Formats: sequence, C-alpha cells, structure tokens
Amino acid sequence: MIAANLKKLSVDLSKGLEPKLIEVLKDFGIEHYFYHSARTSRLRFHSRWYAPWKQPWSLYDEVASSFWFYTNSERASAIEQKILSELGLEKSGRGTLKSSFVDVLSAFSLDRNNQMLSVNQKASSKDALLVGFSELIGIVPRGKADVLNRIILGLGVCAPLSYYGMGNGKRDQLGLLRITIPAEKEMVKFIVPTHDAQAITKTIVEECGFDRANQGIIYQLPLNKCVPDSLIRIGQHEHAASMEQVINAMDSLKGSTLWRTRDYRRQSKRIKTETQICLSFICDEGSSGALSQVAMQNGAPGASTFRCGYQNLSADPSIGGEITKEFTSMVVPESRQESIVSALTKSEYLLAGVIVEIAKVNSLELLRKNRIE
Amino acid sequence: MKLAARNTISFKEALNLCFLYASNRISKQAPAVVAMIAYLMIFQTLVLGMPLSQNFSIVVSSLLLILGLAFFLEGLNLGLMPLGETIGLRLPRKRSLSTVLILALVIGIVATFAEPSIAALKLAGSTVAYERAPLLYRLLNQDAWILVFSIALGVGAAVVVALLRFYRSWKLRSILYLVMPILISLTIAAKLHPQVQHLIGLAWDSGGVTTGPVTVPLVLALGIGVSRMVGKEHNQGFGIVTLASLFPIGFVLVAGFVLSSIDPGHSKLGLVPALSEFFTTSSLESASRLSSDFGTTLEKTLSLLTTAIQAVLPLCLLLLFALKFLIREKIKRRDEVFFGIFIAIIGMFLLSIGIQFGLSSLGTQVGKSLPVTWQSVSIEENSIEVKNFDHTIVQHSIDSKGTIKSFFLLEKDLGPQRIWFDPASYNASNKSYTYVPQIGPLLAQPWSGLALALFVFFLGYGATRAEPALITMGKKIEDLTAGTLKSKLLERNVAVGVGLGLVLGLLQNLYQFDFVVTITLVYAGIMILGAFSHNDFVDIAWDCAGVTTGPITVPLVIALGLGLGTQNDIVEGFGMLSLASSMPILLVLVQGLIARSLVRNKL
Repeated sequence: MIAANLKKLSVDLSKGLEPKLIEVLKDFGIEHYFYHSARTSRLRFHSRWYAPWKQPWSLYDEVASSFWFYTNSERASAIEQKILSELGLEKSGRGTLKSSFVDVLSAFSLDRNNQMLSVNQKASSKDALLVGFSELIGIVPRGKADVLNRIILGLGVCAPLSYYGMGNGKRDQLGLLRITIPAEKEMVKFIVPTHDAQAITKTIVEECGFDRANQGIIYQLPLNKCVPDSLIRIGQHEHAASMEQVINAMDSLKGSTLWRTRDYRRQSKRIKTETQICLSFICDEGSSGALSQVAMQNGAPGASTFRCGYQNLSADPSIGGEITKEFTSMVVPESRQESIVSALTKSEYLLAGVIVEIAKVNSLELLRKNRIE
Repeated sequence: MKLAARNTISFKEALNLCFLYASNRISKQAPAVVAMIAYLMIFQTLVLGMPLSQNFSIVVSSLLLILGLAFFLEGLNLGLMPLGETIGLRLPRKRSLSTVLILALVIGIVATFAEPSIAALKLAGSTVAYERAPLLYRLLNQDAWILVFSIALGVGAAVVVALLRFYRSWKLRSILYLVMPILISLTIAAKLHPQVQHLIGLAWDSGGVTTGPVTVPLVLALGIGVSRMVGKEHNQGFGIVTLASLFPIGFVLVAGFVLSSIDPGHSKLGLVPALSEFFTTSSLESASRLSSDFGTTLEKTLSLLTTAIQAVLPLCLLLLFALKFLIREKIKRRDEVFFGIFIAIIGMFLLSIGIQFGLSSLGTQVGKSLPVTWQSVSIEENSIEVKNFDHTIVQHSIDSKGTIKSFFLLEKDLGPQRIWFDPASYNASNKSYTYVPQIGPLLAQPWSGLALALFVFFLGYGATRAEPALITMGKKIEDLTAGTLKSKLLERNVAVGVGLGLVLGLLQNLYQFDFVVTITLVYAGIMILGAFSHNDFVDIAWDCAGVTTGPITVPLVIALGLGLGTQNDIVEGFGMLSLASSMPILLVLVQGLIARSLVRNKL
C-alpha cells in the first residue's frame, strides 16, 4: 500500500457541466476519478396567488453530480484554477469546488506525474478560491434530508448537496430483526465559514433533533480552499441583485468570510467535541459490508456507505474503465485509527484497488446514546 | 480484539420494533387502497344509485389487499430485488456474454409463463364470438398456447436485447426509433388483413399486461446490476420493461399472420388439438374459472395460493440456480433473502384474494352499472314478484297525442308508487307479476359522457397509485436520481397519465375511433417529445408505461371495458390498456422537459 498526503479535489456540479469537467480532468491526465449522482437543493419562489395559505418558497431539487479525485499539492492549484475558469464556478448555481488535505493509503498511484501541467497549464498567480471554510456532513435517516436542507437554506449558508446511502452499524448484529430498522440514510454536505461552523452546527442539532437517539449525526471536515455554491433562492427577485450575489461579491472582495457575523445568542446547548478522524475507504461493490464489520470489530461505532462510479482512464478501453465502487466513511476516535487501518489492510476482503482515506474531523456532534444504526 | 459483541435487545423492545416496522409498511399502502375502494363504493351507491352486493366480502378483501401489498412490496425489497441485482452484478464478471444472454432469454420466458397476468387477456376477450373474429377467438381459446409462446418469446427477446444494450451502450431512444416504426407498420398491415385486424387490440394490450408485479422488479434489478457492472455510459438499467412491453406486440401480430397463412379457414378445433386441450386445462383457464361461479370459495382460495407460488417461486428458483451453479457464490444475507421470498409469496396470495374477492368484484359491479349514466338499466337483483296480481288494479292514462299507457300502484315502504304495466311481465299461469325496477339515464348527453370520463380518470388514477410494480419502480428511480425525481411525484404523474389514457380509451370505445389511428397518433407524439428529451428521462418515461398495467389496474379496466363493450356491441374490448400505458410516457417526458428547461435557464 502506498501512503501519501494528497489533496482531495471535489467538484459538485450541475449535471449539464459534467462533460466540461471530464475534459479538464483528461487535459490534466487525471486517470482515476470517482463520481456519484446527487441532488442540489434550493428554494424556489412561487407566487401562488391561487393558494395564498401556502408558503411562497418551496424546495427545488436539481440533478447534480459529485466528482472527486486525489492529486499532489503542487498540481492542485493549477487544476483548481482551470476547473474554476472552464466551468464558470464563480457564477453561483453552477457548482462547488472543494479541496482538502487527506492521508491516502492506496494499492496504486492515484496521480500520474505527467508533463501536461508544464505544457498546457500554469497555476494562475491570483487564486480565486476562498479560504476559511469547512464542510459539514449530516447523516440522517432516509426521507429526513429535506428537513435539514430547509434549515441550511433558511440559514442562508449555501446550496446543500444530498444523496442516498446505507448505514452499517449495530443493526447488523440483531439477526433477522435487523430488517425492522431501516438502514437507508441520506447524506447532506454543505459548506460553511469555519468561524460560523460551531454556531450553525448548534442550530442544526437543535432543529433536527440530533441530540435525540437515531436522529442522525453531523460532523465537520476542514477545507483547504473552496468555491461554494451560494445560489440559495431561484425565481423572482425584488432587487437588481440577490442577497446571495451581494454576499458572493463581498466574499470575493474581502478574500474570506470573516466579515460575516451572525447572532446566535439564543442558543444555549453546548456542543460535545472530541478528537476524531474521518476514515473512509473505497472498495468494490458488495465488499463494504464485510469491511465495515472489520472496522466495527476494531472500534468503529458505525459506518455509512454510498455507491459511486469509478473511472480509470488508464484501463484498456475495450474492457471499459468505468465500474461501480462503494465509498464507506466512519467517524472514529483518533486513538482507534491505527488498529482499524491495520485490521482493514489485513482483511481478506481488501482487494486490489481499495483506497483508504483519512481526514481530520474538526468537531463532531456525537450523540449516539441508544443509537442503533 | 472484538469490541462489538452481538447486540441483545429485550423481547419487549423486539416486539416494539416489529410493531413499528409492520405499522409503517401497512400505513404506507392503506391510503391508496382505501381511497380506491371508497371511491368505487361511493360512486356505485351514491352517484349511480345502484345497489352494492357482497359488502362484507369487499371490506374484508380490501383489508387483505392492503396487507398483501405491504407484504409483497417488502418481500420484493428484501428478497427478490437484491437477488436480481446480485446476479446482474456478478454474472457479467464470471460468465461470458452468451451465457448472460441465454439466462436472460430463459428468465424472460419463465417470467411470462409464471405470471398470471396473461389470464387477464383471456378474461378481457371472453365476449369475443367465433363467428365475428375467428382468429382472435382461436388465439384466446384453442390456440392460446400460440399466444403464450409468442408473448414469452417476445419478453425473452426483449430481455436479451435490453441486456445487450447495456453491454454495447446502445441508447434506448435509438432502439425505440427502430422498433416503433416496425410495430406501427405491422399494425397497419394487420389492419388491412380481414382476420388479423381483430388481433391489433390484443397485441398492443399483451405487452403491457405481461410485465407483471414480479417480472418488473426482478428484471429491473437484474438490468440495474448488469448495467452497473458493464455499462460504459451512465446507463442506469432502465429499458428492459419498455422492450418487454413492446416486443410481444410484434410477436403476437406476426403469430397472427403466420397462423392465418397456415390455416386460412380458422378451424374451431385449433392448430394442434392436443396442445389446445393441455392449455385449456392449465393456468390459462384460471381467469375464466375464477370469474365464473365454478368452485367454492375454498377452491378459489387454494387456486389463488397456487397462482401466487407459481408467480414467485419459478423465477426465484431460476435465479438461485444461476447464483449457485453459474456464479458459484453464496447468497449474502441469506436469511433476509429467503424471508423476502416467503413474504412475497404470502403477499401475492393476500393480494390476489383482495383483488379477486374485493376489488375485482366491486369493479365488475360498477362496470355493469356504468351504462346507467346514459341509458336506462334494469336492476334484476331488486326485482319484486307480486303474487295474486289482480288485473283490475291496472289503470290507464292518455297523453295529448292520444297514446294510452297502463300503470298500477305498488305499495312500498314510502307508500304507493306508480309502476308502468308491462303485459310481458305478467305470468298468467300463477297470476304473478314480476316488476324489475329500472334506473337511468342519469344524465343527458354530453353531461353523461363528461361524468363517465371523470369517473374513468379517477379510477385509473386511484388504481395506478396502488400498483406494486410502480411503487417499486418509483423507489428505484428515486434511488438512481439521488432523490431529484421523487417517487411520489412520479407515481402521481404516471397515475394522471393512466387516467388520461383511460379517458382516451373510453372515448375510443364509445365513439368507435379507429384504434390504429389513435395509437399511431399517441406514439407519434411520444416519439417527437422523446427527440427533445434527455436520454435518462426517455428511459424512465418508457419504463413507467410498462409498469402501469398491473394486478390492480387490469381487473378494473377489464371490468370497465367489458361493461362498456357489452353495451356498445363491440367485437372485442381490447386496446384500453395499451392506451392507458401510453399516456404516462407523454406526461413523464413533459415533466422531464420542464425540469430541463428550468436547469437550462439557471445555467
């Protein structure tokens, strides 16, 4: 296994922009990338003259795709700039670009050292990506994501990205009785300014009832740089520019989000934070259950899995380089990292091509009292 | 170090979990079924003013229908679909393309033989007279085996082509642009043939009817698995249901042409009498046997249990065989899969009882009463026999033109009521007079037509909302689109489409529009809209069409078709189902185009 500190670049974008992104990835010689379908939620204005008792804002879901790949830090900047300019991500509503540092254990090299960078692309001197952001990831029972999405949009944070997954946890140890506990989960990812993250987490925990058993968890991952999708409302606007456009312009001018302030005085609950890491692995479809069990036997409290596509451009085109994989992530105490990783790497289920990704968790709302997932 | 020991929970907690689980599943199915039954009951009694018989049986059967749906859908989710998906995922890795395709062909054929839906076609054609349409009569009776084989081969070929599509990354749209003109040409050729023309409705209905509640989820799961494994484009596994609905149309029409050329005289004995005998005593007879008064309730119930086992088990055994001997892998979560198959059979059994003794019986009563909206109908079950009828009580009246009418007064609960005297109802031998009350027409034209159209629309809408295959498909689509296309919204759109399709079918039935022209125009519209739609939406829209005609909709539509067909003296009542399945395609395509334009405007 090759261990490396790499940069993970994630692009969540409108479905229509997929071909452009794939072109950019090909230009940079990114041979391995992962993707999955998702939905971006926004608020849509309806005049509803025929039903004045209804709220004018409804949730509007848009087909989106989430792509990610791993690259070394030197090349990351140039790729980020190119993606940003080619896909026009500065314009809100087109997508999100995120980059973060992760430790990756992989059976193969994920980043080819090709020469295209020096020939075609040079990192731009001006970095248009913003700093000071974190990513919040909420995992809720299936069907509850829209509640969380409404809160996020109501807070004016950014457009959240949701997708389906499965939970592996204590339910698997209940025998056939496990069927009575739904394993289907929804994952919601959204970007928040780091200085606001704790307060926003508190609000979400209170509103979504994450402090009650089986209602879900939320955790925060640090981002190195990002361009958030701040198109929160679509439809009729009363002014020449929407509030999101104004905020975007201010963020760009100031170069960060520190100018933003929020009043959270009403909140009283304390957030319980622990030193945690987010340990993820990507494996062949059908193997995640067994690997999750291995991790759980070594101290992982539970895991969430979602299906993703894997594109290997270096594969023989006649065979087809596109296959389905499973991405499993678990938030575990840092002290358990070594034993879990060691157990995973020794596992008989670990096949060639498995990638283990480790990222630090900034804070975590870990309220697993009586939790059966 | 093993930290996670086996979780133990108390018996009370386990019971609580089971109760929550069961109540959640049942409560999801209850609204659609209750609304459907209540709608039909209210329409029959309050709107049409007709009596409703077997009330208790209908209420109990409706409860069984709800339980059946809940059990069946859970069985599909736990057992059948994971099994299909596992085979779809593993088979392409372990076996060659030819093995995959052979298995696909066998699955398609077994699915058709196993599903009891083909019997519904026979029921729909029960009014066909040999003298008026000998070829159609033979295909539904003596030569039913030819019909079954044609449909089975059609479904088998469709599954093969659909899987090949995933391997070769063919677009469904391209296949449709090739297949649809062939089907329309065959239909026009059939229209010009004096005998085969009667098969057109049957052929178009056969496609939709054969993709039943077990076949659809199973082949869909298989397709999703294979597409995920071998798909080179963003293929999502859709298209199998579409092709399985379309291919049988061509195969049945071709069979009609061949049969007509081999035996132009259309002997009433059938092509191969031995096979005819076998098939008339086999499952194909179940529909007519069940619809008649043959057999006791126990016999009917046992027959339904056999049908349920026959619908689920052969396909599951085939898939288990493939897993064991072709893929050589153990079943993951074996307990869950076997439990799923078991409850799917129980669910199918309860569902069949609910449909047979509840929904179908209610639908037949409403179907028979429907003509009361535009014409007068006799209510035989409310007839009164007046004994010792005294002729002297008959009185006469005269109108301005001098026409004399006779009447007498009959004592009823609300006092004496005037009854027109009909000499034919008087039996002189035992001096009794039989009075058969009549009702209708309730509305004058065009209001009766409008009322009928509204009834049919809501009937289609309500029945479709309860269709198990559509519910399963909706959930799969929601999964694959990451929730962008919500299952509830899709179910609603498809249900509206079926409602509109039934209204179109009703108009076609009442006003005798040419079926070929109607279906050609509808599909031409679909093809034009499809040209502007995104590939994913084309796949989803077409697959939705295949799942609309399931066990809930079919008996109701057939009851409706028979009721209307008998009144209108139509040779056969086919065609309504195919129109009902075509309109949802249009609506889903429109939904896709709207969503696309919103995204395009934003970008």
